[in-house]
Amino acid sequence: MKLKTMNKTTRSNMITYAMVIIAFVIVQIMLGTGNISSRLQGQLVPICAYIVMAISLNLTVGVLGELSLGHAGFMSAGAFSGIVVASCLSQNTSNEILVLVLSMLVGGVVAAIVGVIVGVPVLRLSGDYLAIVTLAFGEIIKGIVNNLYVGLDGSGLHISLIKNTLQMDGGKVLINGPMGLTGIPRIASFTVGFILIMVCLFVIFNLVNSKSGRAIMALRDNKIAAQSVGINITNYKLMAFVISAAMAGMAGVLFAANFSTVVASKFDFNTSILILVFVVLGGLGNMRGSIIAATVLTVLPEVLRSFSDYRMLVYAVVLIVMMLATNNPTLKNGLNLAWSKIAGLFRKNTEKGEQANV
Amino acid sequence: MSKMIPIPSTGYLNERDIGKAPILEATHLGIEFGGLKAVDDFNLTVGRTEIAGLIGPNGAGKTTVFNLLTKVYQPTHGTILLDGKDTHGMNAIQVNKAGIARTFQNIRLFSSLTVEENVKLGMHNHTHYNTLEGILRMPRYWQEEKRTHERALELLHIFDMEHLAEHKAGSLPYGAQRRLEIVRALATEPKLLLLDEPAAGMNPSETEELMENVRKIRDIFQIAILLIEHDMQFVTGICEGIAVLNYGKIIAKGTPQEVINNPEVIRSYLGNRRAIMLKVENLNVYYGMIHAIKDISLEVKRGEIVSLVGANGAGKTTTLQAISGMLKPKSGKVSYLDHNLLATPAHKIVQYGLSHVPEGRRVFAQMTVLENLEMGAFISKDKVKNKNNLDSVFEHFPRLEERKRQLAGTLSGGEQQMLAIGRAMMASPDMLLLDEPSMGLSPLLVKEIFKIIKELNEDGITILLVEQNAKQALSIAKRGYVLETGKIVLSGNAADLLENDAVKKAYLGG
Amino acid sequence: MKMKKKIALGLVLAMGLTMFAGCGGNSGDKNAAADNAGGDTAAAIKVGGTGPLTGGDSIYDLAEHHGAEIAEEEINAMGGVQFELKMEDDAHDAEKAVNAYNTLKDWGMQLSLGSVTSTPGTATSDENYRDSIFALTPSASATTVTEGKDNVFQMCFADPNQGSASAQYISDQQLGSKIAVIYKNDDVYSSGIYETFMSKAGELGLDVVSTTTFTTDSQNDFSVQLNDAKNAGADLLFLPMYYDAASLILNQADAMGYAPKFFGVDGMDGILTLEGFDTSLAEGVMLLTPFSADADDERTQSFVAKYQERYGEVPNQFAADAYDCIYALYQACTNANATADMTAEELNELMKEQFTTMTFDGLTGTGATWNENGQITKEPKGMVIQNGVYVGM
Repeated sequence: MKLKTMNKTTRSNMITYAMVIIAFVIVQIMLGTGNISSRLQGQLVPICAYIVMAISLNLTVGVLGELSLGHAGFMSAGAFSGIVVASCLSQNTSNEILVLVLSMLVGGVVAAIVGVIVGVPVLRLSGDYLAIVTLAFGEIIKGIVNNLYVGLDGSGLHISLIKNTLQMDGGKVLINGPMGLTGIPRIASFTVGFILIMVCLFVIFNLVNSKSGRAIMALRDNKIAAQSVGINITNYKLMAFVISAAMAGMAGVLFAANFSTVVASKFDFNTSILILVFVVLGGLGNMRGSIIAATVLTVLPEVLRSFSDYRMLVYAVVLIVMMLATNNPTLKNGLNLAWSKIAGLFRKNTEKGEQANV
Repeated sequence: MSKMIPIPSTGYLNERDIGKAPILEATHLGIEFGGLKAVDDFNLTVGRTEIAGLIGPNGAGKTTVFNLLTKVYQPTHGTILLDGKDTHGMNAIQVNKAGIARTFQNIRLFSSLTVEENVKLGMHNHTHYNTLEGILRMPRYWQEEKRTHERALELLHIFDMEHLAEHKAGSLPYGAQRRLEIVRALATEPKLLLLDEPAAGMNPSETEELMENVRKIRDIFQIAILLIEHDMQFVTGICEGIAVLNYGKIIAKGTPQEVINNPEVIRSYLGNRRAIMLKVENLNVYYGMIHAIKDISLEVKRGEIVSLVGANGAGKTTTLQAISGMLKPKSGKVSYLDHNLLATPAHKIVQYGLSHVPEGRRVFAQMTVLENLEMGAFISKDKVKNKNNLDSVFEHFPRLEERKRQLAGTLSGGEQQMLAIGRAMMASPDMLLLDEPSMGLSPLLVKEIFKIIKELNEDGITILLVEQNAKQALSIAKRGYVLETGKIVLSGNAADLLENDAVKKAYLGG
Repeated sequence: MKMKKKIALGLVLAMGLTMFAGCGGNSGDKNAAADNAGGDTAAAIKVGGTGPLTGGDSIYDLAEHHGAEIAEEEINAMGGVQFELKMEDDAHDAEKAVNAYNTLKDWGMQLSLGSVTSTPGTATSDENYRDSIFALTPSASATTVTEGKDNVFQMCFADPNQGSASAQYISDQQLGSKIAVIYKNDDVYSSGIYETFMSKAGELGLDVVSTTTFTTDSQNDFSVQLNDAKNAGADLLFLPMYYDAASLILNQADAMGYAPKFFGVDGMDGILTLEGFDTSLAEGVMLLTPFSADADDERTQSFVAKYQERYGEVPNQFAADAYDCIYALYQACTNANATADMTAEELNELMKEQFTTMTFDGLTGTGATWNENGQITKEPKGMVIQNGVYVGM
């Protein structure tokens, strides 16, 4: 495909896909040659999970234009349901990829169902009110999972909200209330994470550039006008919200399957805000920005370990400086100019190449 | 089963439509907001291919009628038949699907999306593929996207806007945004198109072009069009039937000729266009020994914007204060319509329909925006009118609606200015005296304020504007007076004054 | 223009802080250099651990860091096996603990102190197992830390042992007739101890009259829980929780004039050093902990003296646990003739063999042994707070 014949959006989407693929290839080469630190290697899967969280939240915040402060709640719903499935499946099959994919699908579906349950009453609200309710939702999920006991034995799954009533016949406890999930089958892999990112990008980009995506953005721009052209506000709000929740659920499974233990309090308000920071810093509606912000802000605190006691201070300052810098028109223009120059060079080269081919 | 109309209730039905079922038939339509009737017993029939107009003074309830027809508000009384079908119980979306599309007085575009996307959104319910087909890019997606793309360009062609298809809607100039709204409404394939002040903010040549295009739209699409407009030339030039609304009730219906000659319409809305509203003769004001205003005479005709420009201390504010009764002149005569203002106490002048927006804004800082506005309607006991006036203020100043619960003292300078003007509008004035509305505002806000002043004038309010910013003031005015040390040194058409070398040198910076 | 200035200011600030932080880092390095002055740095076995250096539980990490440092210095001064110690922050979070663990791995960690707290400990111990890096954790007490991992050992009691030991102790010493329990049900540590305590209490026929819970989000008001206990006529309040929540309970019980006996577990340790806490409220509080700073044996006294001299406070159980960890590793390394040039895998095998067979005498108990699950057996001591210090009961 010729880069210049595409329209602006398509070109920008292609660049994003290319960026992710190139990053994946580079990391694979590093892994292959062993030129990677254990620290970075350990962070690969969480980075993938956070990227998916960021782009899915960006669908709600950037594309739909509604502030959600409970995105980690969907991650939690997906993580806990998906890992229960993974634990059951991995007793019967040893194909890790299959188990992971199936459990991610289940996690996604469960998170989507939770999204519908939350979305139907909540999406009547908007703005600050919606933000407050989603915040509460995240805490409710945390509270429920903190009191959830799930065990697996010969006769199947046992679920209870009080541990003592979990009538187990041997077997093992999968979700142990506040102790969360322990003994998780660690089946997450960077490749699956990469594929998940690509799938989510594909869904979001294609959604945005279709009838439904346009309707979602129309709600963001002007609700009254959207109604006046016959767009069903509730349906499309819910659609964006649920797709976003499903992706967060899948990211949750990926994330949890990378560690041997996950507790409900991991997916708290702070995590929701962290993801929101990725989105805001990367730019509302800007998926590429979300990907970069999620990566940088996940790696940064670890890189800053050399600052020992001051690392969180430095992290905060870097964050503030980045916020200021990305919102600075002078700097932005400068970057755009630089970028267009580079792109111009590139274009000239390809044109030359094409002429040469002719 | 189509319904025949016994009597065409517009009082007019064009020949094509006689014998056909009307597209719209509203009977006894009404809505109450907490006990006050904003629209009451509204009856209107629009023929299948008719272009009809809805006119009336500010706050008469015209936009409310549109909101009732499109079910933004559910009517509390009456029925609306669209193409013979009762729209009772339908919501805004269903009404649109049933065939009513509209534009808005304050433009509501999807401003971050492109022009083409805006039009495609109009075609939303006529685009036949589902979300999954869209995400997976199935063949139907490509077919339908191609079809809607071509259709969008076709529709944009009506206004010669195809070349703007890739631009962001929010970045278009004002006139183009208005036109895009019409295209988007057309894309929903309506049977009845409602246009809310389509010509507002357009210059005469743009208005002329719009008239032609509205006719063209009717001819091509064979639909009915109902429009709200203050520009009487536009209305009489294009509409086949007109209904006049005042205080939420229809006071007259008929052909344009019948309506503009109707005495009640003239009294309540049109007025005598050429009549002199305000006349100042040989005014002299002294501050102690200082002769501040020296023998000034000026006049303002109905429907005009007249600008009084001059340097600091030339006596502009003093003149206004003398007119509105805040200062006692030594000699001279000030008459407003038939009233001798010098013999009228200041508070009474407001009741005559003359409102003064003082310099430095003077809002009630400790009151909320809403309370400030309610203070402006202090003299009026007419709840319907107050409600409609409030709606109209918020239409002109959406920013005030956003901040209606905020204390006025916490507003920015520009917003306080808007509030001051809005407060004056609450008294439903026929004429506004504006004292330095642009003082202390940023260039962008100055532009916005002047745009709003122009809109108010287009709504039928006569304006006497006192300004230091001579260039802006003269550019929106019909006529102007130049004041220097208490004397009028120049007067004439605003356009001429703008070109005048002496004025240029003194006030326009060369 | 204004924006530019802001940016410039921000950058200057960032640079300033970076330099500041740089200084901090350097001075740390200097300390490390001083620590290793006695021995040959190159020949030291690298020991790493993660802990909540930041956040609510930092008091544990600091104590352990300090305790381990003292042990490291003493051992390096002896001239035998040499250790180089490094602690990384995990903010009491599993994800960050794994990151910290990997950082330590990049540094070249050969032996691990696991994690200070249980949830991160569960995550890092799994990494230890996968990477075959031997771990001896001072205080991650949950059973999930050691379960199924043959190379992860605990220096502290596992949670179930604490719960049942507390019940046993209360029953043996006849400390109370009616017992109330308040525990934190979203915390692994607290609810783990609670469960074993209850089952042991049932066995022993203890009369538990009130059981109430709280969570992280509700741990500032305990009036409901305390009233419940009071109304039930409880004369002993069992508090299996960390010291921060316990301090509030003591405060609020005092305010409402309720004065039962308080009985805590090792998490209560640290309450005396909590900033802003009126230690007189803790008078008479009993807790079960393996370490007593006022013990009169020579090693404890020398440790307490050194600790006080350096850090200006009385060491708690966690400091002693960490101190013992380093000594236990030292003993095992010495016995196995381990050297710094061995790989982590080689050390792993040697350590596993040593720890399942050796007997260790430390500050926190003599004659300690480990079973194959990595759990320790040693004698707990009952302590009571008198005049602001722990006294053996």
